[in-house]
Amino acid sequence: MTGPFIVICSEREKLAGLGEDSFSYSFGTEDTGYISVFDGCGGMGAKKYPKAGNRSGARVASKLAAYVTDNFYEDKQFRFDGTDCQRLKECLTNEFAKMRNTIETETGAKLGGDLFKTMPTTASIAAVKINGSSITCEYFWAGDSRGYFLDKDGLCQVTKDDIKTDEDAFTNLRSDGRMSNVIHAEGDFNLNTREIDIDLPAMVIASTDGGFGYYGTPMDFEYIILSSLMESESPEEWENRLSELIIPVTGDDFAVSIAVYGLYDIAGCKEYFKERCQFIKEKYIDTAGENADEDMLLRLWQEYKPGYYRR
Amino acid sequence: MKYNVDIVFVIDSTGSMSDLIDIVKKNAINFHTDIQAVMSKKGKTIQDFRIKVIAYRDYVADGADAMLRTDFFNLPEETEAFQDTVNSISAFGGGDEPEDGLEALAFAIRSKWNTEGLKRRQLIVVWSDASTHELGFGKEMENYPTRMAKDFNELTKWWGDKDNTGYMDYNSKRLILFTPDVPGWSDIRNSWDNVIHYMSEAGRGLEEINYNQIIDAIAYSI
Repeated sequence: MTGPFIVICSEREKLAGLGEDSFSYSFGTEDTGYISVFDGCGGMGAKKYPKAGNRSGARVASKLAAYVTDNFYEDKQFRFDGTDCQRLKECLTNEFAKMRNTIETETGAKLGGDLFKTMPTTASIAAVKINGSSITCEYFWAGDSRGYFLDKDGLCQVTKDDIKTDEDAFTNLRSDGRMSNVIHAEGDFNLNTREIDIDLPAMVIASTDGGFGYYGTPMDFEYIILSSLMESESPEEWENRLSELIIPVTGDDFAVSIAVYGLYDIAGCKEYFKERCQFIKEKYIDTAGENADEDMLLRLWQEYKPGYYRR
Repeated sequence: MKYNVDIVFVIDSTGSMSDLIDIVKKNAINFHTDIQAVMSKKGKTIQDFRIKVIAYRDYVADGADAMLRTDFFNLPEETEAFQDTVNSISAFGGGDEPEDGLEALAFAIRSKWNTEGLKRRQLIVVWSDASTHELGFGKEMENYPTRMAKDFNELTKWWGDKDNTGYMDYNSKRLILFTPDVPGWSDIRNSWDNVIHYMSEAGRGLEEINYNQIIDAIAYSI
């Protein structure tokens, strides 16, 4: 089996030309591929670089990370042998250092403190190897961009946010936790990794926080992925419809990348996920309605949570 | 996204700081609008915006003029009162090179912060071209405050970290230093969370800083 059949990436720059989210994906070989999203950290990385067209360090970082990851894949460096994370981190460290040396100037204020990083960005990367009726998925991440999969049992968050406070996905939507780790040019960052096997059919998903972070509950994010699929007749329509649902809600740039394995056309996807979509809608979305109070949302989350963290 | 923002300006008001103080005076009336404009570009809106001023010098050299502290002004409603306060600050005194910046910072940390709203920011912005005395350097002076942090360790506890809550909200607080890379300030940069340090040249009155940089630094830290 080759795959994935469908890959979409819904993304948007809140201000044209100034967006700090990036993405890349590739499925060039028959049995491996990857998706990735990156969120340049505008606060920490607001410093502008004249030698980079006066772009912010955050924007340079997310674009560079996407480029490095794509090259890593094209050079067949995702080997699924336990060494991918260390080698990818080395590539990112080296390329970020080279870029910093290229664009940094001697003039301008010297900056320090933990709120400043040179070229900071989050990352969520999912490298996939097909094993017949299942896939092996290596997730790599830094910061608060997330990696998931979605199968008939629903959405499952695989990555754990690098934030300074310990909170679950529901609490995180309500808090203002600061990130504890991002990729940056000083090099002292962690690239986290987890490898899991996933039975097919399933979607592999990577999203910046602009995609999932502006809803009342994590169930809403699963629902917009599935409901946008139900309303579409092609991958392009799905991509556009997902963006249309995210744009009114988000306050940020966003990038959401989805690769579907084990299903071979849009009609097949819709048929397979129809029941799950209906279940989410009735049990969580309709039950909450438009005016649910916090107690009700929390109760619904407690019911949803075990499935969301099932792996 | 709507934010409730409190800002404390901690301003070294000794003799060499007149240029910086003039920048603050000249732009006080537009400050709220200018911050909001930068934040709007990022899709953020300020709902409640308050600002207060701590103007400091040296307890030993300047006696009663060592520390001026205001309450929070609500902007834009109290812009005139804020402007009047800023206009009353003038650069003089100081005595020796280090000043009592850590006492001023201690007062800032213990401000009556707004605790309402999901998205809050508690910002302290420090401007100085000098290093700091150790806490308590001026404690023999009559007007030295009681209940001041007795040393840097205690001040660090007041600031707090992710395991020990200080006087500010851990996720909301930000400390922006426009100061030299000298004792006091460098210790803070190296050991406290939620800090950004724009390192200036000592003794030059922060002449390299312009208003737009100040606005960007504050808006981007929100």
